[in-house]
Amino acid sequence: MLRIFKKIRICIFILIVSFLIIDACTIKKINEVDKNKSKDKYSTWTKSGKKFDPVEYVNSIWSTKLIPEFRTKSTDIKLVLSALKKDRKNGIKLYGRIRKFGGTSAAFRVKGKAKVLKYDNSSMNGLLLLDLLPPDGKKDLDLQVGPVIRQTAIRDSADFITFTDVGNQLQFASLADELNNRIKKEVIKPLDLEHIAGETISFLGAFKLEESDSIDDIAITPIEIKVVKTIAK
Amino acid sequence: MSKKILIVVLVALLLPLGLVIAGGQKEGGAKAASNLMVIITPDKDNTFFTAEADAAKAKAEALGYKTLLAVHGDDPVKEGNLIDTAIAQKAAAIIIDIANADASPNNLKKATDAGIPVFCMDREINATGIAKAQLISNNFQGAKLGAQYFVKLMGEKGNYVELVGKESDTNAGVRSKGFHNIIDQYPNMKMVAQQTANWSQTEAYSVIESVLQAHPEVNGIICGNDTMALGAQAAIEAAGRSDIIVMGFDGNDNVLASILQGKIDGTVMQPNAKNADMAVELADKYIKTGSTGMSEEKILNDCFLITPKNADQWKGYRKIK
Repeated sequence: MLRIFKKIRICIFILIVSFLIIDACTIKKINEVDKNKSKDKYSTWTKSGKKFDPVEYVNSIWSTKLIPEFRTKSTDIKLVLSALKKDRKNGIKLYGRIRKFGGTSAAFRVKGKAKVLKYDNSSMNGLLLLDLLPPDGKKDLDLQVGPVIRQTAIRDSADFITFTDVGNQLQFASLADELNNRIKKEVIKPLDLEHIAGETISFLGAFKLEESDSIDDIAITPIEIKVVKTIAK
Repeated sequence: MSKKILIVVLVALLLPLGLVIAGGQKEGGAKAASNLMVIITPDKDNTFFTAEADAAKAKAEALGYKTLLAVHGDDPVKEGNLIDTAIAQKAAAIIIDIANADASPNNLKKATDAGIPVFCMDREINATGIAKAQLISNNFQGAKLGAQYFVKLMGEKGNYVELVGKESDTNAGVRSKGFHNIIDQYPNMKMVAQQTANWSQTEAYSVIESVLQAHPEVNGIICGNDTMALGAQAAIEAAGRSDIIVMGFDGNDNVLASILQGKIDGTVMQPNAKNADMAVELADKYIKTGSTGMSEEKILNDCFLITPKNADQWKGYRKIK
């Protein structure tokens, strides 16, 4: 009887010790550790304690959350522009997304149809010059087509993306970068930019307006572009 | 004997649970024991941090609090000692620009465990659930903004030097990454030198002096902060050059003056005073109501681009026009 009790005691002791040891360690595969080392461009902390992977995160939201949000919640760009031109403050209040306390800039989710007047690649920040339908031959706004994409408009206009959840500012920035990469790959790459002038496109996208920005210089970051009509040349 | 061991083991297993319960009670029952706000910043010799401390102090006193100011000199150990002092003084709240993103959370936790709410300004900690709010200066966004303007002024091409800040300061790395996030997308922008000048004006002067001798082809200098930009400006003047684009970061008043004189081309204004104001306001609200009323703990405040067009609109890190 005593012997059995002793055995049980030893077993419990071993169990507790091994539990404590295992609890204090994280077991990682070697290749996982190496991968973290080589990709150490951004800090690795997140709220959940898991490494933040911008590619994985964007994969998880792109078609399930992000695009649907833009499809359902974007406002017609003509409405937004005319509201901003009429009364900038009120236009921002009506259609802009301002993060509480988060600076004076506002982000807008927009949609529209336009004729492409020109593909301007004189800068690395390539642009499509757009004439909104019905066309009057004058440029209304620009659409960014890279390779350099400015601003973080898509990230900052999505309702469900919050800074606290993503972690620190480097991770938050890496998320914006990955969104821009994804846009280049999925939205811009399929376009025939050299021959797009003259075409009519429909687009979904976003732009940011800082306090000092002119409404005439708005450049939209696209999240969807469709060529709707091909004009014979 | 065996019973004793079992009891010890059981007690050891239950101990953390007891602490959790005790901690919960403590937090729930905590009331401001004084009307003292302890304001902790990194440095008293750097105008950026003195402006931040002054802004927090002025705001706290305007709201009827007594204040105690201290600096940790980027040393987490000293920061820990200052937190102990704040606990001993039964501070109503701690307003802090932290020493280190990874080391500081432990220090701050001591205060929150003692029932003192902590509010971060400027720098962020790599943890949530400790500070009641973090009002963070978006250094990465600011660096991208500055780099975009720098690239534009350079005509998307040229040879440039980057002056990097103090290596131990997280924001030195964040800004450098932000610069390169933009500049590296332009293949005709060539970095001929990347050197640290440790946030120092005199070090920046000597670095740029020697770089210009070795690389007279340099036509742009992008700096991790404004004091280094002032050092670069002096070295450029001493070398008799006037064709070099200089970009700073912070928005200090001396650089704003240089921008208006055309000696420095631009800088990035940090929302320094705004972060301090908000941290104190949220602390006040938390003390009075038990909540900051904010949906998010971490609030990222954007920086602003300063050019000759708007340099006269700011003073003491505040918009005056």
